Amino acid sequence: MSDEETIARLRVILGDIAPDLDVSTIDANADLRNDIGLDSMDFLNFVIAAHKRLRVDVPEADYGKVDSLAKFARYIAAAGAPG
Amino acid sequence: MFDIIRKSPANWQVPPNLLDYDALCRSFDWASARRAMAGLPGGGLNIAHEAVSRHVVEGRGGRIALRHLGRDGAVSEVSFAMLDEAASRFANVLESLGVARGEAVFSLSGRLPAFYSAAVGTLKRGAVFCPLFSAFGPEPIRARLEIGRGVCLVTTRMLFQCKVAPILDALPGLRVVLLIDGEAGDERGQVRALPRLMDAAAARYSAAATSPEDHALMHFTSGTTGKPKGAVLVHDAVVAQSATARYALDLHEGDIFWCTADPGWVTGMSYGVIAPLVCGVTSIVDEMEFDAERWYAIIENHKVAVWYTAPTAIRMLMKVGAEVAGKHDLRSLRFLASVGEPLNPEAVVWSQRTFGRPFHDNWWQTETGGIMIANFAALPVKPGSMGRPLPGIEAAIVERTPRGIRVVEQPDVDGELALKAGWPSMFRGYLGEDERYRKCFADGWYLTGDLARRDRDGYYWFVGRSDDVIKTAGHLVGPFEVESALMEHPAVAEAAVIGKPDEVAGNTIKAFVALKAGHEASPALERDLMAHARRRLGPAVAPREIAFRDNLPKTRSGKIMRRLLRARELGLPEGDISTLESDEKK
Repeated sequence: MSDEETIARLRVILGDIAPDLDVSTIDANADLRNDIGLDSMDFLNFVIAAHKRLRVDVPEADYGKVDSLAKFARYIAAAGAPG
Repeated sequence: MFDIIRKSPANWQVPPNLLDYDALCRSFDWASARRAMAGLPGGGLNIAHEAVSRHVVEGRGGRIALRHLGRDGAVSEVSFAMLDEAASRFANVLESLGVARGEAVFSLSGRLPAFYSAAVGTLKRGAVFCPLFSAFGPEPIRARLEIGRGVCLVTTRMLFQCKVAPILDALPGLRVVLLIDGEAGDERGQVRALPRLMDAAAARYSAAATSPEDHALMHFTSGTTGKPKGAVLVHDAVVAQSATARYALDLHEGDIFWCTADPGWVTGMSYGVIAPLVCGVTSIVDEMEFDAERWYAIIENHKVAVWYTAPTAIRMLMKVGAEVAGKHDLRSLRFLASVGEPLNPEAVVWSQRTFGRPFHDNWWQTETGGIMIANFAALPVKPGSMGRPLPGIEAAIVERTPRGIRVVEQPDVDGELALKAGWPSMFRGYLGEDERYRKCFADGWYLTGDLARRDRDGYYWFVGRSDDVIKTAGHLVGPFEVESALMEHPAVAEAAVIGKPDEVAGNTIKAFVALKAGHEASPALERDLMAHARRRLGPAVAPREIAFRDNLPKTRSGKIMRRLLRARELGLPEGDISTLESDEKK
């Protein structure tokens, strides 16, 4: 799966956690908490949902490496998740 | 039961400010604490002078007050002299814009240096400073500006665009909006670019000659019913905020101190701005949100000595694991403290194991203005206990009676935690709500609404809330505010919200909703309701979970029984349901 495809799937997951956002227009490089305004519980729920639906493991210590959609997609690609 | 953590003087890098608890409690009085303040040159007391100008006058202006860590990794330092000058410019800006003494200046911003100069500058001006939480949605912001009669709001361009512009027309009393990062092109109507005004303002300002009882700060808090309440603190609060910071946080002049609280909450103001400045410490100001790796790196790189944080963050650090902490040199840490909600004993034990020091839980509320009950550096810690009352604070467990209250003398009895009224940082009112203020007191005691018990050694233990207020991620959320927002949705007939225990946030908010005729429960509607609530309230206040019911349980007088919904959700005993008239239908 390309990074673009992963980002598209992450957008859908994000939309379920924060349905108030227009996820289709979010800048993939924007910081999810500091720019987009997710609070820490939202962010935790987002990572947990991504874990379930994309079967990607993100240990808590790596949360700083998945703080934007683009970084998350690269993280998944590097981890070789089946997607 | 967890083992008591005992302290050994051999491990003290610096002797704690409070060594003999009993002796200090006997000798302490607020009048003496007040004499430690400089006071204004012409008489009077002003927090801005105690916090900043005093250091400059006494030759310490070159010391670093704030070390700001920007999002791009840039570090910038602000000395007491620089902060004094910026605050003076801000006070001049307010005066030139016609903001009068006693009027309310609100802020909506993250941890930016401009927030500090706005806070101190507002106090210099003699106006009342009211910080708001920047994760609030437009509706809580509008309600608080209206109730608090805000005439000026300091915020950023982005927060203004997302959250304030949509409600500006509904706030006729808001005369000025100052954009911290604004440019000339942003100016229209009452919206002004702050940097331009600051540059043009004079760099000196003599602090307003406020008296100790003049209003200084306003912090919003929530009750079970009704609108949010603006708790008002006075300039005299600085006496308690600085004394408690020395005893309960063990601040020593020159310490590197990190209070991680958001500036929109009372902790971020009392112990993020005022107390550390008065105590002459250097505060770490981290612009970014929580991240375990970065947090440990900050402690290591900046040699943080005293760290004041919250249970939600500590529990996240526990999830990340001790190995991550082990990669950093955290030996600069001398004292660790926690506030916001009861810190679970496992977290205290974990920190003792991981950092070689326990987190010291302490307890206070918006209304108390400062720490009231704490675990101290020199005293044993009983994991799970909030500790013992500060010197100068008389606490008790009380029982409400038809005529007032009865103080429960015997130990190990659950009751309401009460404080003998009259300490300097006690709130002096809820703005415009005298009746609600009066109801907080009985027989000379402030009734906290928290249930607790005191053990034989005089340690207090949190038991629960006496009302339906929800504590989530350390913040109080009034169910009424959330329910009102849900009720505004065209499909909703009834709504009730409860706190649902959560291992990280303490509680998360769950809503129960009954729909109007013609509306069907569906995942799409749930999503739409969730989006509606988040847009109105912001993520910190909106429910994380919504359940549909055909009917909500109500009393004869039509009051929804949140308590019963919560008991059923958590599988607890339903308790007294004699007033139940119309039961829940799934």
